[in-house]
Amino acid sequence: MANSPNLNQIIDLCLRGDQKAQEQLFHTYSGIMFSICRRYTNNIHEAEDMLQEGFIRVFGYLKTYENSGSFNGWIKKIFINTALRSISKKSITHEINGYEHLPDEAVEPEIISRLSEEQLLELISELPEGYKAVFNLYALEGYSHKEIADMLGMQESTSRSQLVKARRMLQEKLLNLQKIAV
Amino acid sequence: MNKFDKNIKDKLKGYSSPVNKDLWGKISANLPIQEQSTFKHWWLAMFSIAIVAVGFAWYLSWNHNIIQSNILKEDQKTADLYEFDSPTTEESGGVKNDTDLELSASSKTTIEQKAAASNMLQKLDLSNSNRTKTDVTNKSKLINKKVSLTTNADVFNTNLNVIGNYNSLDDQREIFDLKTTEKNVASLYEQYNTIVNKAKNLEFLKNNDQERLDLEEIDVLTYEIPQLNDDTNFEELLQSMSGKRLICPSFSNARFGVFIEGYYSNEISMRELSYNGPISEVDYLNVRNQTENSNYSYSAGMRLSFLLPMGFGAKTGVNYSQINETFKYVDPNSNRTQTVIIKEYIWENGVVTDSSEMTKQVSIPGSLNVVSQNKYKILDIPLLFTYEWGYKKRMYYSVTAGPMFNLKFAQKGKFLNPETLTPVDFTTNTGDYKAFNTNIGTSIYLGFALNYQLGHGTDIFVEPNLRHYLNKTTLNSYLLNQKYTTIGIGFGVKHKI
Repeated sequence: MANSPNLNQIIDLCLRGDQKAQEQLFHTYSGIMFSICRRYTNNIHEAEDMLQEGFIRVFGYLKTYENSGSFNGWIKKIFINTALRSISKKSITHEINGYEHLPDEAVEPEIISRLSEEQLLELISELPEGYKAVFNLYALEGYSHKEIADMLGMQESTSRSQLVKARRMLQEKLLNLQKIAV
Repeated sequence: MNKFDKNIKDKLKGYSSPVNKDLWGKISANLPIQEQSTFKHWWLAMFSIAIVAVGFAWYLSWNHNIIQSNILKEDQKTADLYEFDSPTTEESGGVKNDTDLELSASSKTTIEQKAAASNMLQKLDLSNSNRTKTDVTNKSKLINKKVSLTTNADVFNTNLNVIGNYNSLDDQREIFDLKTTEKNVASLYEQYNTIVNKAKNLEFLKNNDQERLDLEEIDVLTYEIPQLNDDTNFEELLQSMSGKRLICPSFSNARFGVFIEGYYSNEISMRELSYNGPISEVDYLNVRNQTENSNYSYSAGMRLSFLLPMGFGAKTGVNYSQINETFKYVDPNSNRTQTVIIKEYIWENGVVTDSSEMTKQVSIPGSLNVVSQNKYKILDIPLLFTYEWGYKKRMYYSVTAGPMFNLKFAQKGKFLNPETLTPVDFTTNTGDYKAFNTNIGTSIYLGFALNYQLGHGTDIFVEPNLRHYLNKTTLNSYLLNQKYTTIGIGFGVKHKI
């Protein structure tokens, strides 16, 4: 997808060190990128640190961006990589037992639609590190299990099993919310 | 992706979380200040100098041609310019009008004239020491005729008054003081002819009208004679005056012999990185390209040039090249370790009864900027072949090409460790990041030079050049192949020894 001429102009100015353009780029993308950071972290403070780190990387690597691809995709990838770097430094608990018994598709779509985006982000962020990473990468970013396994340094089968567990844990949380609401 | 995943994805699609307004302040404070690329400025400056140098050389060449064409034009006018009015019967009061003296300078083109002039001037005591301004107005009527001497309309236009115009004589002397270049070769010879003609004319007057002309008083003619000493190559001067082409005696095209040359070349390097096997998981090649940038590079050296008469030759010597790169890496997850001493006090009734001290290492997260100026040092022996052509006055071209054999390759700086992707110093070239060869074999050099002869066997040159390193600088065991090609503009001077 081609970038708008305005965006290309902002990128050019950023490359020349124009602070106003950098600020404009930040305000354009900070909200969406912050929601990504929220999904990969446990709390807002961590997410803010990640956003800060991600934007420093974006401005640092901006000269490597080639206009051939979508800037949205490029910046998103930087933030995902930043998140994964952060996760890899923490000890990821790969296995938590006890969620396999929940049936799939147990959550009605209405439950999700009734939730606010912030509530949903909060629920995702409460998942254990490993589950959260795999669920985000697979369900929300669209990576394959092979790619996730390469990125996180795990077996493909581990990625699959973690996805299942992440789903079920999230479904359980949603069901609990529904129960409380009722 | 199942339905549950899709529902969540759709819910969060394009969602923008509210961001703390202070966050931009923190980010902007951590952004590196944009550095002006001194590297680009360097190259702009170098190209400007090269353009000025080439322009100046062209101007000199062009000016040379203009002077030549002016001289050729003046050469054709010579006969008109040197018509010396011989004394008429009316003016000389009875002096014979028909004289067998030849008064046209253009026809006086033999070396005997020089001798005749010398003798005549001796007779007339036309020496520098005798130059005084005297009133000879009355007696000068006989020869009070102006010789209009115009050697170059663009440069000067002087009326030489034989008797009374002392200032004109001074003007002439200034002309003689000019350097002996092709520009005033013409005027020099014209002056000489003028003197000869005048001297002969005076002798004629002396023989025929002794009463009207007291030669002792014609001191005004005693101005400086151009330096027509024995070394003056008159034949060459005459040839220059009469031929269609002016052969400049000061510069010779016979350029064979041994030259020593020194040069300095401003260069830009182009690095070629390729995988020495399968692509690594983290795309190490891309990581290195992102963290390392080409910087201003240079070469310098001395060469002995052995030039044969046909323009062919060989060059050898010593060449030192330095390829510079900048390594920049920002580690956003760098931790700084600090030692903290924790003291605990036990209080009892307001008095410290005991205390304990504990030392702890704490890790403070932050980002770390690692910057290194990487240098690749290359010492070579060139064995080059050269050919010179296109001699046009002081300018000529030359092409130089051939192999350069590496004596020593050394490196200094940092790159990312292929295993850990953390910055490591590769200067020592040891450990698991041992990467570089100590000898990189042969490179090929090609240069095209514009040369300018300064004279006295010394030339200067501008030589745009290209150098391609045939072999990689890295070891077979290293993950990547690293090769270079450089382009540059060399400036140098050579001297015949």
